[in-house]
Amino acid sequence: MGSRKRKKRHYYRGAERRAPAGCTSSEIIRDLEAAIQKRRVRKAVGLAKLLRKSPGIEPVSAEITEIIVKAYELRLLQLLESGLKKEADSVFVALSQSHPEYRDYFSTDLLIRKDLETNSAHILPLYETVPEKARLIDDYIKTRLTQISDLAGYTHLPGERGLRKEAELILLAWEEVESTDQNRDVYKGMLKTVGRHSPLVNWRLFIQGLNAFYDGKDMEAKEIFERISRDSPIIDLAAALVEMIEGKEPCSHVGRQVAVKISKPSLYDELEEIDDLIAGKKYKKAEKRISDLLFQPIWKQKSGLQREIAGSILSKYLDLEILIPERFDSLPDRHFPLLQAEFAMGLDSCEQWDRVLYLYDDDLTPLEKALINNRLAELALKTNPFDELSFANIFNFFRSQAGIEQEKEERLMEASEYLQESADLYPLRETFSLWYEKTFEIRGARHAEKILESWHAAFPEDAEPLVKLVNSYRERKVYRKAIKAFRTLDGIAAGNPEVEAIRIYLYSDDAISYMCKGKPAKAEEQLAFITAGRDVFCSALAATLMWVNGQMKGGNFNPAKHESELLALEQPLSVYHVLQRLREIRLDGLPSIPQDIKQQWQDPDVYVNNLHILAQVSDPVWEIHETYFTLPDYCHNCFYRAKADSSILRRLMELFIKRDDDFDFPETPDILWQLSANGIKRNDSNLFFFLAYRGALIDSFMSEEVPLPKYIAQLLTDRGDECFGTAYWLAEKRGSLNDAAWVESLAEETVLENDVKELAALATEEKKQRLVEIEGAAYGKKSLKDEVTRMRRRSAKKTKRATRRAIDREQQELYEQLELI
Amino acid sequence: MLYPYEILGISENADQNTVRKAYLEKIRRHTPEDSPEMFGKIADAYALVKDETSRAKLRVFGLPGKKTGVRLRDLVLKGKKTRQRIGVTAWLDLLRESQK
Repeated sequence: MGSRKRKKRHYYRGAERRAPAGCTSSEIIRDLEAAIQKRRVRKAVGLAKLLRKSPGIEPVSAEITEIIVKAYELRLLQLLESGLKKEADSVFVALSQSHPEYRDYFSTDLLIRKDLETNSAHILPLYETVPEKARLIDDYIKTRLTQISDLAGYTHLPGERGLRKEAELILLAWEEVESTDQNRDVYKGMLKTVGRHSPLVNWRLFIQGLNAFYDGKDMEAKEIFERISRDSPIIDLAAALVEMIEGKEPCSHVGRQVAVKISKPSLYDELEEIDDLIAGKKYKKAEKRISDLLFQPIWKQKSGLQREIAGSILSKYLDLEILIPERFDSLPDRHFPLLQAEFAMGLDSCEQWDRVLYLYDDDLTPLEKALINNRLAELALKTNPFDELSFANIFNFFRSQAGIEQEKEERLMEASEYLQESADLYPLRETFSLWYEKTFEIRGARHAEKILESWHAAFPEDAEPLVKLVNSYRERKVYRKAIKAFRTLDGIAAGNPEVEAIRIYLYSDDAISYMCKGKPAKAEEQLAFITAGRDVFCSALAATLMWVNGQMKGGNFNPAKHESELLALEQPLSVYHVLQRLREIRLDGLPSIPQDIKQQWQDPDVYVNNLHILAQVSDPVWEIHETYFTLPDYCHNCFYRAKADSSILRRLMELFIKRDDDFDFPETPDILWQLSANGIKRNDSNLFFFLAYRGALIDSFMSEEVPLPKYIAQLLTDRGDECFGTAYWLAEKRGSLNDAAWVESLAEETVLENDVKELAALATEEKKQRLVEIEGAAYGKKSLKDEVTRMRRRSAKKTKRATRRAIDREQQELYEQLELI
Repeated sequence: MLYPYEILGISENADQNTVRKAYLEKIRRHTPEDSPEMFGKIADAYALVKDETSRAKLRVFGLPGKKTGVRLRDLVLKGKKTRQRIGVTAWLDLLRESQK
């Protein structure tokens, strides 16, 4: 069994132990120095105690005292850093009492620190009385003070002035800067009190810089932070903030910590906190939290997440707006958090763009602001909520109608404000174009003219506003203004085909005006200026006016000669149209239409071609308007018999559909029926168009709920389906997606039971040919109604014959039976 | 960089002459016969930046179909730079940390 070796106890453990015999003071001193250097506090203190009691050191020299005090300094530092302030003070007091001579050896820094942290009065109170100490204390505060709160709370210095007062002010100002309260009274007081010679000047600069930093005034903040002295302990924090301003990655531990704290995530906690604040009616604090949350840079590049988060925050903000609306009226910055949230959510609303203009008035260029105002106008003009009319009774209908008109007017007024603003900022043609279009649509020509005048003023070299202005004046019969505007137009765009056409119409307007005043001679002068030009209609217009004017003037006017000129034009409908127009303006003494002209329009080809010419007139005074244009009587099946090109027939169909898509005029469906049959029989590239409309016409007829026998109804339905299916098939074969899409959209407006694409799948070349034969057939295709009547009659005859045959057979059987008997 | 500028190979600050020159050069190199697809892209890109108004529209509203462009994005993200206030105590703690 072996003996356990006893551990050698070190001789320096425990203050009561004495040095073992043979340990010299120099060895203790050596060990003590080493312990101090290695900051081994316990060892150092123990050795110091040992050294004090060591008999070999008497009398104690200054060097030894110094080293002993250094050991105790370590101990004091350790206690202070551990937060054991009372203990630190006690140790110092005990030492001072037992060894008063040690006091002079303690470092000033440590004493100052101890005084500050323990609120004791060993050196700091001398600041007021001993200049030498004051200098040392100043130096400490400038370069080593980290806890200004200690200085602010140090009761052994006077509180109404001096260091302590300044420290207090700095602390209070700091609190102010850290709060969302806009009040900065204490802050301003601090700026006045803490001068540039104060040892606390770096603290003051830090608070100033921080204030600017929080307000987003980066350049100002950076400039202030850069004035902080390099040896101030606060420089590290200032440097971290400068890094953030410059957008650099933090390169120090404290820099990273600052960045994390300033851009703190954890949304859930934040939203919860906001809810609590709102519930507790702490609205200001809630607003601050919301505002801070929205600016978190961590949400960059995470657009989907950001959108969701912005939505949550926005809803909180809107809650707040409802609860404290008065607060948001006065704060301009209330717009910004909302804008950020709206932007993150990808909104495109009036409110958002209004906010943009408000917040960034200085940053945006006039052109950008003008474009945004145009966008605002477009949004303001968007479809109103009165989309569904109430047809419950007539009263509701008209009330809804009035509501719609009122709504449109209000929207136009709002849009006009934006467009005016846009035009003032940076005139753009598109601004005026939109403004004119909408004003014309909602308020009419007279109001729209003002916009054209503004357009012309902004772009005097543009012909477009002048052309519209001339036409508008003409339509309203304000001829003087029309001529004046035309003269300006002529000055900038003479020779332009549109301008030349207007010239002709203007002369005719003038001539008519003279005719109305009973001045045929003057009228004749104007008519002499009219030449045929590009517009074929103009020839008929001029000739008819000359004929009418000649009749009115009398004298050596030769009516027969003029009538034969009119006949030669082969535009009997144009003549009719001009006379209609003159009748409407109540021109006296109008001649009747010559019989030869009436005869001329009985020719289907002449009729249809002339109608086509009229359909192309785009002048606002002479074009065919659905309100007043009526057709003169035409011959039987005129539209079916005409030999015009299928493109002309198509054009006419489009004209009639545009003119009367609700079929208010009874002849419209018949005309369309004939035109479609005529077009179908051509069997050319426009076939799909005619077949599609054929299907639509059948559907329209069926929807009139005319009672039909079941088999006729089925027959018509099948024909309609087949027309649509074949039309779609043909459009697809042509390779035209637009045409196919058009057929499909037309079919969708009908009560077609099957999908048009499914029907198209059944189409073949043979079916198409058969369809062309049936739908384009030559026999009596006046109207669908007509055809259905014939179908009924045919069916009645068949039934009669079948019934007759049945009766005959019965009789025959009876005879046979009788014969048998 | 915005897509039309990338296609034309010019900077977003290019002036009218530069835009036009770049466009003409590109379509000389990518004719409709040789590279119809690229020609189409160049033509579309030019339409978006051909004058000052078009360029401003692109900046403010972005590409067709989008609602906002880079201009608003830059302004909004630049923002008023209000940062999270962390409080005096937090700052003093940071200061203490920094001195260790």
